[in-house]
Formats: sequence, structure tokens, C-alpha cells
Amino acid sequence: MNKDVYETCFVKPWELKKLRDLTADVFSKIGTEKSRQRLIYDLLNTLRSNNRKRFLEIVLKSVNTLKSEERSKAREFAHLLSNLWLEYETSENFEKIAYAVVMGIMNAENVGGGDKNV
Amino acid sequence: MRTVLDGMETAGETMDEQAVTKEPLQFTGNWFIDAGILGFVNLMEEVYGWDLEELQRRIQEEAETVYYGYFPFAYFYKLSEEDGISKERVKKRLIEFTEKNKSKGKDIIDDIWWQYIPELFKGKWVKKKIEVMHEKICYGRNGKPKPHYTDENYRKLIKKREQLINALVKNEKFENTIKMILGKNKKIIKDNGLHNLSAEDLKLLEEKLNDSSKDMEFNDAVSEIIKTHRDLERYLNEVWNSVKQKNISKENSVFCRIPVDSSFFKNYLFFNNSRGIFEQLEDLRNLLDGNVSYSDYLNKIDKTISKFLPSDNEFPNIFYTKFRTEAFVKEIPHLFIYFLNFLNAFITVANVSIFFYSNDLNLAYQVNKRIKIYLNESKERRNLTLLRVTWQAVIDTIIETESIWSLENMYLIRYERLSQQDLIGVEYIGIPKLQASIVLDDKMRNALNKSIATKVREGRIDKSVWLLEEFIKNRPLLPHIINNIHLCLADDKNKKYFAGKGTLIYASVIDAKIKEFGQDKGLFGDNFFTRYEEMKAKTKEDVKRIFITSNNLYDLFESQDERNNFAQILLEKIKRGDKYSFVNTLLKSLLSKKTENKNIENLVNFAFNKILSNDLTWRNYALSFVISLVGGGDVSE
Repeated sequence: MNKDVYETCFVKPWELKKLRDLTADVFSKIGTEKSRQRLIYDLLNTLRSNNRKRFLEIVLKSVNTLKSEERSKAREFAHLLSNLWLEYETSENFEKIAYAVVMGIMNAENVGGGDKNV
Repeated sequence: MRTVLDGMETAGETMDEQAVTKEPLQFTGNWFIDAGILGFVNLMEEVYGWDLEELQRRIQEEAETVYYGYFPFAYFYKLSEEDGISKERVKKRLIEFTEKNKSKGKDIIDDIWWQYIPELFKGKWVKKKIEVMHEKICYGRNGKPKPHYTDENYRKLIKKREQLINALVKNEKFENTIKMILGKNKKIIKDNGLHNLSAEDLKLLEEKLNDSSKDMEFNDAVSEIIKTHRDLERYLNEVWNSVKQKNISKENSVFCRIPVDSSFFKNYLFFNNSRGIFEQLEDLRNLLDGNVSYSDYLNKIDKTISKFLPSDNEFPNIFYTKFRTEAFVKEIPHLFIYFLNFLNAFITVANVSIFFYSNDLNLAYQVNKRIKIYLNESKERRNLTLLRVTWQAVIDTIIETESIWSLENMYLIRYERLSQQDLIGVEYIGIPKLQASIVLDDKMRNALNKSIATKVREGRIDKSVWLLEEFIKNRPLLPHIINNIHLCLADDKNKKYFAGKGTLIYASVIDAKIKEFGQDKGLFGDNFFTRYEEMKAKTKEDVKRIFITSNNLYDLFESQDERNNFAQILLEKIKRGDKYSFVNTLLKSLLSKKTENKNIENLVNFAFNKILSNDLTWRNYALSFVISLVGGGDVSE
């Protein structure tokens, strides 16, 4: 595929990485390990049925549970997510963005711990 | 008016004046000339046992003896169909003579031509002449003898034998006896009333002379024919012996021509059937001299002198300039010798001829020699293909001689067969620089240097692929890796078809890197000259990481059956190209496993970086998970 086309149509890898890291940061402050696991299951099932609305609803609901003093990170996360959503609105990009979020949540409790470049 | 051209010598004049070059042999950069140079080296080695070093030494010390003495003999020696023992005898005498007569210089060609070369063709010449069964053949339409049959005594003997045979076959009493000996279906009289017996038939009649027939009259008639036949043979042998003394008239020149004929090389006049023995010598001498003005065909470089080239009219630059040999011959005085030898550069196996070319003579010589040795060895190991042997020889030699640079400047040239005027199925295969740089890395080469099973039928390997060959030919490795894993999962509990974790992971990552490299359009960027090295380093880094994460994945499962089942599910998704379904299944599986969080994190991050964010080569990396599940953990890279 032509590189120019790649640049304009697909989510760039560094944007995805930023989203994943921010997700991990935000979700490390939400719920327990068990509740996060349930959340991930729900999200993976929603993705399998390709239900975009439901996916967004679950994610935003979870973020909304954050305390007011931790809202600035949540706002940043919501801003990035909505930007990516609007900019790359194809189905292919939706899945890519959504799985980056899921992987971010999976890394949540270990934020700052492991080597994310492995 | 004097033109610029007036001041130039023709190449023919130049060659007359200058001595034979003593410059050591070296490649010119034009592969169709260089093939001939290597062919020349091969010929001299085949006939005299000189290796390249010995030949170079001799050229430096006695160039004229090599080009005008040893070479012509060797060339005709190879064309000769005489039996090995008599050829060897002649060669031994030739070597003794040449060693004692080095002072003769270029003139040694006369002695070689008259005293030694005819001996190599005695049998063939006599046979061809004796096989003429009818006098009529010896005459042209004008009633005069044809040039090939100018000898009167020869014609008389042919006539006498023919009359005797005619009398025999036309005698009705003998018909049954003859048919009993030669076969019932043998037609012994032609429609024009002449006999239809060949020299072979005479041999049969002679063999059965005493035991098949008690008819004295028949025996006498056959004996008389055989006697005349023997007289003819004796006479021809005498004539051919007199050639050695140069004791033949100019009129009998064609009658006594050296019987070499090649429709493929017909444009080299001495092969032409109409040239007599004197003319053949003249043709050869001018060829050795590089005299371009001798004939039109020597004047231009095109299909007439090298079958790899187009014809004069087909050259795309014909409107700008004619492609003339004159300029070449000034630089490469023995050009025509090389052109004559280009077929000797090729090694033929199972109807395919192959020639390895690099722009260094020594390297090309070493590699081609090694190919021959490997091919001889491989006759015992039938599973080795020609190309595999060839590449193996190329790679081994290059690694041994450390001629790394040459990998980037080499070709394999092959053809399937020769036709009357053309080479059929010519193919040129080069090694791309990228592949070359990887091949030279010990670890990566060893990993790819394996045949992997890709198809099994009735419990036996039906098809296998040599990964290194596919890689050199720039073909994708991924389908073969998938096929191999599929085999292991489908029907291979003992893993006897499994190509090995290391091999498959390396192959998969190298395949990915080649694809990624192809996407890199950074021509003339800062890293243009280092990017090959960088790519190798990145490949190794990825393989290392895969080994770490793959062990993590392996440890998540408790039994091999469980691993195989999961591997099968993942493989199906890879085959379908369904990346997100693959990620979904993988993540769900990770969630359900209780293991150290660090391991899960490694796996998730690897999946993020190499699969989710990677649209181009995600399947290669996804496959490494499957390979690990099938191949086992704790195997060091």
C-alpha cells in the first residue's frame, strides 16, 4: 500500500500508543482487578458483535465513575478518543482504536511497571 | 581527403603486428564474453588438468603456445568422438611435442593442425566416407564429382562395391538368405533399382557368412563384397594418414576436411561443411588472430557469434551505432576464442544447463567448480535439486573466500536446450542486495538452510520446500510456514514434520522484514547505506523478543493438547486474515489464565506493537505465537 494513503486513512501507530498508555493511566484508578477483568470481557464481546455504540457506552460509563480530582486525565482520554473516532471513522479504524483501549485496560494495574515496548 | 579513420589501424593489422597478449585472464564485465573466458578455462582444465592458477602462469610465460598450440588441440579434442584411449594417446604425444617446440610461437598451429588434430577424427572421417553406398551420391547434377568426393580411387572403390552388392541382391537365389540375415521386412532393392544395403548390413552379412548359409556361391559373392569393403577402408585409412604429412592436393581439400559440423556454431567457418581442410586451418588461424576483416561474421557482435545476443537488426541501439567487434578485439585480443567456448562455461544436469556468473573470474571459477563437485555428490542423494546445489555452492564459496561484495553482483544464467540457431528457455537469476546481506549472516542462513515439509501423502512427505532457495528467489515464505504448521497440527503427534521453532520463527520474521523493507521509500535518506545492516539487527532483535514472549505464552497452558487446540484456532484466524478476531481470541485467552502479570503484560504489549498496530506484516508475528505453541518453550534462539 502506498505510504501516503496509509498516512491519511489509517490511525497512526504513535496515536494508538498514546491512546493505550492514556487508557492504562486512567483505568488504573478505576475499580478492582476483578471488575476490570469483567469489563474487558464485556468489551471483547461487544467488539466481537461489532457494536460500536455499546462499546463507547461501557467505556464512558466506566470513566465517569472517576472522582472529580482525577477528572483531568479522564477529560484528556475522552478528548483523544473522540478525536480519533471522528478523524478515522471507518470500521477498520474503529476496531483498531477499540482494541488499543482494551489493551490499555489490560495493562492498567501495571502502569509504570512493565516494559511496554516489548 | 584524410579522415580520422584513415589514421586508425584495423584490428586485423594490429594483431599481425603485436605479439599475443600475456595479460592474465580476467573478466571484462560483459557476461556473454566472460562466459566464454570461463568456458576457455574449463576446457583447458578438462583436457590438460590445469587449474586457473596454472593456466594463468602458462599464459604469462608462453601465451602463444597456449593460444595457438594447446587451445586448438583441446577444442578439437573435445569435439572428437574417438574412444578415450586413442584420444589420450594423441594428447600425450601432443603435450610432448608442444613442450619441446615452444619456440615456434604462433606457427605451432600448423604442426598441431596437420599432425595431431586429424588423428582425433580418423575414425569419424573413415566411417562417414565408408557409409557412402552409391557412386551416384559422389556426383553433382553437372556430372562432376562433388567436392566431398573428389578422390578418384575412392570413387572407384565405391563403384566396385556397389556393383558387387547390386549383383548379390538382384540374384533371386539369394533373396531369402539375405532376408533371413537382415530381417524379413528389409527392403533390399530400392524403387530405382539400386541396392538398399548399408555399411551396417554388410557387417551383419559378414558375421553370418559361415553359419547361416551353406551356399558356396552366396558365400563367395559376400566375401568379394567384404573384401572390397575392407580395401575401401584400408585405402581411406592410408589417405587420412597422408594428411599428417600434408600430402594432399588442394583439389582434395574438402574431401579431407576435418569432419566437424555444428549448426549452432555454423557462423564460425571451419564448422561449415563446404570448407576444406586448408580453408578450415585458415579460418581457425584468423579466428585465433582475432582478424575481424577476415569475414563479415567476425566483424560484428550479434547473434551470429553469440547466441545470447539478438541479431544485428534487433539491437535496440542500432540507429545510433553498429555493434562492431573491432573495438572489442583491441581490448580483448582473444575474443573469438572466448566466444567459441561459451558453452563450456555451463554445467548440464538433467537437460538444464547452468552457469554461475560473478564479475570476478576467480570467484566464478571456484563456484562453478564447486557446483560440479556438489552435483556429483548429489547424484547419490537424489533429493537435492540442481538449484539447491547451485546456491549451496555459491554461498559456501562466498563465505569461504569472504567475497561478500560479489554476492551483489552475481547471476545464474541457465538455458534448457539448444536448437538449430537458438538457446531455448534462457533465464537470468540475480540475488538482490537485501537477500545477499541476510544470506551472509551465519545465524539467519543456518536457520533458513532447511527443507521443510509442506505436503504429506499417505504418511510420507510429498512436497518440501527449501526455504533458502525461496528466499533468494524473493518469494514469500509465509505460505510455506503456514503449510508446515498446518501439517504438524493435523497429523503429526510426534512432530516429525515440524521444521523447528528456530527455523520457522526466523523465516517468519525475515519474511516480514523483507516486506517492510520493500515499503521503505527512503531512497538517498541518511540511512540508505546502513539500512541493510539495520534490518539484520532489527530482525535479530525481533526474534529475541519473540523467544521471550513465546515462552510466556507456552507456559500459560498446562498440556500440549490444550496448546495444540489453541494453536489450531489461532492458525485458522491467520489463514483467514482476520486480525481483530485473532486479537480478540488471544486477549480472552490471556484473561482466563492465571499467571504472573508481567508475563501477560509482555504478551499484550507484543500483540499491540507487532499485531494490532501492524497492518502489513501482522500475520508473520501472529504466526510466531502459533509456532511457539506447537514447537515448545525454552528453546534458545
